Amino acid sequence: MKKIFTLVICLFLLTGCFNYVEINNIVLVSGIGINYINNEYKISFELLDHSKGKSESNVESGILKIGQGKTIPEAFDDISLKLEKEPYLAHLKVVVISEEIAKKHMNDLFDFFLRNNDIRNIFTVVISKNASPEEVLSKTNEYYKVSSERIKSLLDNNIYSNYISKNKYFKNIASNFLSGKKNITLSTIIIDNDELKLGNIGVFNKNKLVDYLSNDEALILSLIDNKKTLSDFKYECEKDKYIIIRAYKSNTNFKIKENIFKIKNNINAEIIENSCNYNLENIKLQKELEKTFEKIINDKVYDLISHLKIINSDILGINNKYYINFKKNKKDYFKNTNYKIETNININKKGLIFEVKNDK
Amino acid sequence: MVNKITGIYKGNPDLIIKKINNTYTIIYFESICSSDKINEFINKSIIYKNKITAPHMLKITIKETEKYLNNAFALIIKNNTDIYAAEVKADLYRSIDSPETEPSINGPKDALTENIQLNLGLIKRRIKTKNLKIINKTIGKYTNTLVQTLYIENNQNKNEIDYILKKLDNIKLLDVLDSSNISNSLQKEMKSIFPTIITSERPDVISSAIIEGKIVILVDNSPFALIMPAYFTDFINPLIDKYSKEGPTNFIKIIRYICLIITLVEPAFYIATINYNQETIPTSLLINFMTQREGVPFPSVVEAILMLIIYEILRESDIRFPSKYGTAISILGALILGDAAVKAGIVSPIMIITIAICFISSLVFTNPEFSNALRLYRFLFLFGATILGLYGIILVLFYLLINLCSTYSINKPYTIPIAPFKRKYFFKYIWRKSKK
Repeated sequence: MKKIFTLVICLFLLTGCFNYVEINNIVLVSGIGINYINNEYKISFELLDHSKGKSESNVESGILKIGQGKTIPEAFDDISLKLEKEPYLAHLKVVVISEEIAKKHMNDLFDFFLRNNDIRNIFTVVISKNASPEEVLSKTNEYYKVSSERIKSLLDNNIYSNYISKNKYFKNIASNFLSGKKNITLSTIIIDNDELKLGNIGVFNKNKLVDYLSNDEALILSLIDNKKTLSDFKYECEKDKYIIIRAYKSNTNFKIKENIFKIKNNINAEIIENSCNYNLENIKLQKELEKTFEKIINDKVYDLISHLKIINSDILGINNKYYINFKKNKKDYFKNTNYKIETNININKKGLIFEVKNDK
Repeated sequence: MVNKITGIYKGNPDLIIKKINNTYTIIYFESICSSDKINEFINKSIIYKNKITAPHMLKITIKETEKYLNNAFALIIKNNTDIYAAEVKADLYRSIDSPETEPSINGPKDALTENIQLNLGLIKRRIKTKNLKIINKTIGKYTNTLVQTLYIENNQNKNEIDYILKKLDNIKLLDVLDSSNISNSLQKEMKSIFPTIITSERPDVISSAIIEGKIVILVDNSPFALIMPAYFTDFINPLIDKYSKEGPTNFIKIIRYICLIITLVEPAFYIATINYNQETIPTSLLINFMTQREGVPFPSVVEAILMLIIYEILRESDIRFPSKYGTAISILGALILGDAAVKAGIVSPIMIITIAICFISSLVFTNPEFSNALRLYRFLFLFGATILGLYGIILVLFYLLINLCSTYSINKPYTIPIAPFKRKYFFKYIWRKSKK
């Protein structure tokens, strides 16, 4: 009986209420901006303001609070001095980092966010390219009163050209960053004509931002890296006349050998524009079209891999694949090894319009 | 002799003594006997034929007069020496009404009354077999109430029948005014707060229980019969489910289990998530909660307990108050609690919604004892959630499961048909599946 009594007492006294908090006493942090200026971290919190009376409906708006410090925790402490309520970080959606952070201080960033228990690791990290994170986080419009939610929506809904950035949460990035299986990529955000816009994809070599991918390269990366993809490719048959295909399914195989690696793409595509008026019922023509597009895509993949080899950024995880195959580490395998690209396209959805003016 | 009897009943002003002629005197209680019957049968036969021709007539001794007089017999004293008793019971019972506590859209619409013989008749009209056994017992020192045990004996329920009859013999009560007196005495040993006896006023439900092998107790002057053994699922799924089609009934059964979960843990879950696990609530919803909570001076727990208690008071007053005043209570409840409390900043609207959903769900369970048990556990869950968050809810859930598993209804586990698994019962009550 004594034992049970002690157990029950321990249960209530040692565990209870330790993280009890009333929602009146917290303020939600939706976005964090991290900048590095004059040897100091400059951190901005975008807080969700929910105070009554501002508007009839409960549309929240963002408020920016900025703090500075030699380290990230110091800067966090500095902000908390300016807050009336306890900042609640579990609803964090976006962390915007400056190029400076991406180039030099990624280790500090990962260290802080991974050690902090208050932050859930399902937020997105983006690089602010031509503006400071504070500026990005203060860009709101009448539809989106909260900038971080706007950035999240931009990333989530831009599936055509930026599939690669979708659902890339901090936990996935951190996992690749820490394990070293792949070099990481991060989406960028820019301010264009006073509006927020998604920029090129930033590519890392280990913990440093080394270069950006062009939109075409991002498209190809999305094709190789994702099974689910929606990438468009065009072929100019005459001046200003195009036939455009959309790859809606792609399957990529990597074959790793000691002195060469092969990338084999099997793509299913559909025709979405035929201003060249090709007769799509003609099987011979279709085969020719497939070959043409295979060459186009092959060239693009070739360009991408050469670019990545130059900056030595193994974002496809080729080095790790080599390790899995041969059970030994070869640090510069991706950089120094030759490669071969093979693409198979199957245009199996030709649309419903078959009537053509001429049979070319 | 007449003087002797009147001497015994000195303090009873309703005792009527009618001297018909020199030979016959009639003595009866005016309050429980029918004067019409006495005039029609006894008076007339004495006056015209000078002999007694009443139905159910017996010759009794002076010692038995109390028993017969109190059971609505008239005593006819002949020549001041012989005593005859004739039954002239007045019709003091209401007619058969429709069930009030167990209403249903389809199925029979008759309900038990206060007359035990009438009740027995309602059951016997449905079960026409010689196997239906009825055992009479008289319980209550002052009330001498007739208690009937009804069952159809089979191999499975032999032990239970012996157990109940033995228990009934051991009941020592001063008064048995309702079947709940018997029910409480039978459940006394069981410490669990969950009821282990079903009370029903529907003769069809009672008959179906008897046919299934359950044991039914009828108590005179009570419109509720007791059905035993009763399992946890019986209080969630009423036996009248069988009148509806299989598919929709199963859907409603799922809804009932959802209601059970909601009514037990919903306020506690709200408190746990809002105070401990805010990260589980979608951001925009949390913002709404925060906006609504702004300006409320109490912690959310106090708010919840306050609302729960107010609703309990409202419910209790609704039951106790005459139904004509019901509108006043609902207007008061709806206006004062629903609107003014929010405007006054005492509670947040979301808390009213939470508690209202919880209460609406609790109305699915009609058995008052079962509702009381759920109510107690609702507070326990709230207490657990306040101190330990979701972990607390799980702890109380374990306690509830332990409690349920250690409850027995007449030596049978309360958790039948799930633990131990009884296939037949399971597919009859928890998930209806007809035989192919």
